[in-house]
Amino acid sequence: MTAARTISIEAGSGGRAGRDLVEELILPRLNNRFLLPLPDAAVLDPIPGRLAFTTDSFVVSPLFFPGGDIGKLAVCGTINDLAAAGARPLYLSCALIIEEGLETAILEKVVSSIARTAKRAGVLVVTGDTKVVERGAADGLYLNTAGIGTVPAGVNLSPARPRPGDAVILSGPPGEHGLAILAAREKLSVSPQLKSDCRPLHSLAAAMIASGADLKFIRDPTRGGLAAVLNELVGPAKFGVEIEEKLIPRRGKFRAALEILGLDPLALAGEGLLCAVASPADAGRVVAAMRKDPAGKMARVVGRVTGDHRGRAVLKTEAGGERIIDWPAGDPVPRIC
Amino acid sequence: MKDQPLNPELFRDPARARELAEDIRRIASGRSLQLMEVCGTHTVAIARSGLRSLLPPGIRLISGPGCPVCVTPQPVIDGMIVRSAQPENILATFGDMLNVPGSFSTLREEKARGGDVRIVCSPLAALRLARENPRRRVIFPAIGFETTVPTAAAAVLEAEKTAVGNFFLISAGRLIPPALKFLLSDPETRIDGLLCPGHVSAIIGLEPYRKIARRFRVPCAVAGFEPVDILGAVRELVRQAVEGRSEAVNLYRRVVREGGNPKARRVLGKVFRPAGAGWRGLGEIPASGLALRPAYRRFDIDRVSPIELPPAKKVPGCICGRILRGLSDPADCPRFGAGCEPRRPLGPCMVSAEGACAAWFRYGRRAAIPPGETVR
Amino acid sequence: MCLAVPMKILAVEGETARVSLHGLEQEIDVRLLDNPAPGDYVIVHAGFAISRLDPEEARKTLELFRKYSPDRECFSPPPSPGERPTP
Ligand code: SF4
Repeated sequence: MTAARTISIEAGSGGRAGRDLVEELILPRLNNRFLLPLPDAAVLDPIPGRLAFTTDSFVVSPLFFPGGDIGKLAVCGTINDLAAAGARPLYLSCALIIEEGLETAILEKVVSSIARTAKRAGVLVVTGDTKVVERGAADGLYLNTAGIGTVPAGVNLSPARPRPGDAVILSGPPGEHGLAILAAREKLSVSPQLKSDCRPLHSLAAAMIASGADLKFIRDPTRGGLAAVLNELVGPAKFGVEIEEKLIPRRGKFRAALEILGLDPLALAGEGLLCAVASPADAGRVVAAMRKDPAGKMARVVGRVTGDHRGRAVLKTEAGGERIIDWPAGDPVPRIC
Repeated sequence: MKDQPLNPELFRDPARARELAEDIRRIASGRSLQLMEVCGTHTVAIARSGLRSLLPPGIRLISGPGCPVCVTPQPVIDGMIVRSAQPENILATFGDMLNVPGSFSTLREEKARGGDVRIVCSPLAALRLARENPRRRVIFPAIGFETTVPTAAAAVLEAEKTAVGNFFLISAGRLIPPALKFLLSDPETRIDGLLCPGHVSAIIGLEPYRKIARRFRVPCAVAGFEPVDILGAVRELVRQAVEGRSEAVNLYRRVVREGGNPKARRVLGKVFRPAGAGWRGLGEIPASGLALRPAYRRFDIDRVSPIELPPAKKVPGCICGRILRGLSDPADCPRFGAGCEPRRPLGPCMVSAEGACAAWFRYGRRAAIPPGETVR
Repeated sequence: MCLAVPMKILAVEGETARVSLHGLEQEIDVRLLDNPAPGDYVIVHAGFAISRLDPEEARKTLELFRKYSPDRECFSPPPSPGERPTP
């Protein structure tokens, strides 16, 4: 099986070829005591406390991009969804939908990346599935991961909790994943390469919770970027949000690329940052705790929850003007105009 | 860019911006004036940095014809879309065109259906695609104004020099001064000052605006794109208007030379000649478009391989044309935010990031904010 | 209508130049410019340098864009030598 250079449609059947794919390509990389006997369902050890449970599907082109690949993205994405719920991630599932003809070497690299990322984050992939679809029915490879984690007692996160005066905190520069993907996809030849910020954020979230601060809301601004998160936050609420443009963390290279491509970082996805709301008295503590984590070195308070302009997210611009941060429209594309 | 004083941060300084805004308020002293920002990049810059919130209520900034996506006529867009669906073609376009609604589809939809649409950031990247795909025809829609068209012209000259036979243009370039003259000749338009496009001016220089200022008695200020640049130019226009003067001034001298960029104009003029052309919303304007000169006709896809297009469909209710002429605000359109929004655009002004409707919707929805009030 | 960013020329080779902005480097075409040289700041649009930036003029413009005061000319800049005055 490993001799085959591409994945055939038979590998997705319930037959021998499918079993070979799992046993020879996947199991050696993802081995653990829950997965090994290949039961129909993983039977887990008892987990104390409240559970958080999430799922997400991953479609990315190109499959490999500076700073990551679809495998790393799929593991981090689900870990980060759990982290944003305040949970400590424990177990993941992973399903692969493979386009017939995908090079075996590519699949090997992706599965290795899944294994590496999960191991580093201390989570186990305990169940999975593989399907092969006909050529043209998928774009190379799609992944789905689901995850289970435990939520420590006392954590109470909800978009209904923020109150006027609360601080809005950002752990790092927004939009770096989206920009790196765009640069890779459009073959923007710049150097150094723009790397995606894709990384697991569970230890950052744990540090925030361990600071003892009263955290009210956490989200990871992935697709739709910070703009979507802020709009989601103020959507049904009786408050508004005000962000100071000059406080938003930024890094030179990315800023340059944003200017060259004419893109708004608030509308671009990040895969390695968290946005949080905490009471003003606690904000300093949270930020200090975040900065001790490698993923939170650039953390800072970027704005506040307000009693006025209810239901709107407003940006106070560098020049001192104000504008509404709207829901992003569609997939951002580079422009010259 | 740390080198003072080229550091753009200096042109974003909120203290300076506030001072300029105060000056504007004082000089205008309650008058109502309509200033047109000719250039779509100004429209975006104004919206992104929230400059309207700094201006006194009487000073209205209206968006002019300087958005190439918005002014490209429907049949030209339909032509791009039809060609993108033909299997022998690669349509290599600036990202700006991707979501523009044609009569029946968009480039993004054709791409989803299997059309080979590639996004390029330079005409030379399109030329490179042609070299890499010798069996396909690479078609580049040469949209844009005096700033952009010289780059397409340079690509044509390069293709000629290196004998690339499968590189073609859809010649859709437009010239700004004829459009301004056309607008200002319309007795209906009321424009008290023109905020003139910085990067177009870097090519054409000041002379065209001097003529316009003299002939139509309208103050013209060439401006850069940072908030302080724009406010400084608005102050200049307001002062001139208040004093009854109409001069053309260059407030973007770090980039714009009096005589523009003659070398770029030479390249442009070598490949293209002025020709009558249609502008969406404005109609036919003499000598406002660009046609390939006879020596370069073999690059003109519409000549090499003409296509039949079904008649273009109009968007009922869309008032992009009135907005481009400064007669209406996006909020005056009954479909603005009610059926037409950036996610599902009906008219071109909502598609282009720099279209007046999209900029208004995204960065300062007036429908949600009472006129003259800031968001607070 | 024309998004263009200022970048610094690092090296020129024939009709192309290596430019940088905030540490990000790119290749652009300089054939629309006369005598581009390393150290020049240029305005880049659609992959081409279309104009050169002049630091002295930037300084003057900043000077001009200060709060209006009666004892200082804050508006229409005087034409530089060789330029025709505004009619
Ligand atoms: S809101 Fe839509 S329909 Fe109305 S003028 Fe703008 S683009 Fe046209």
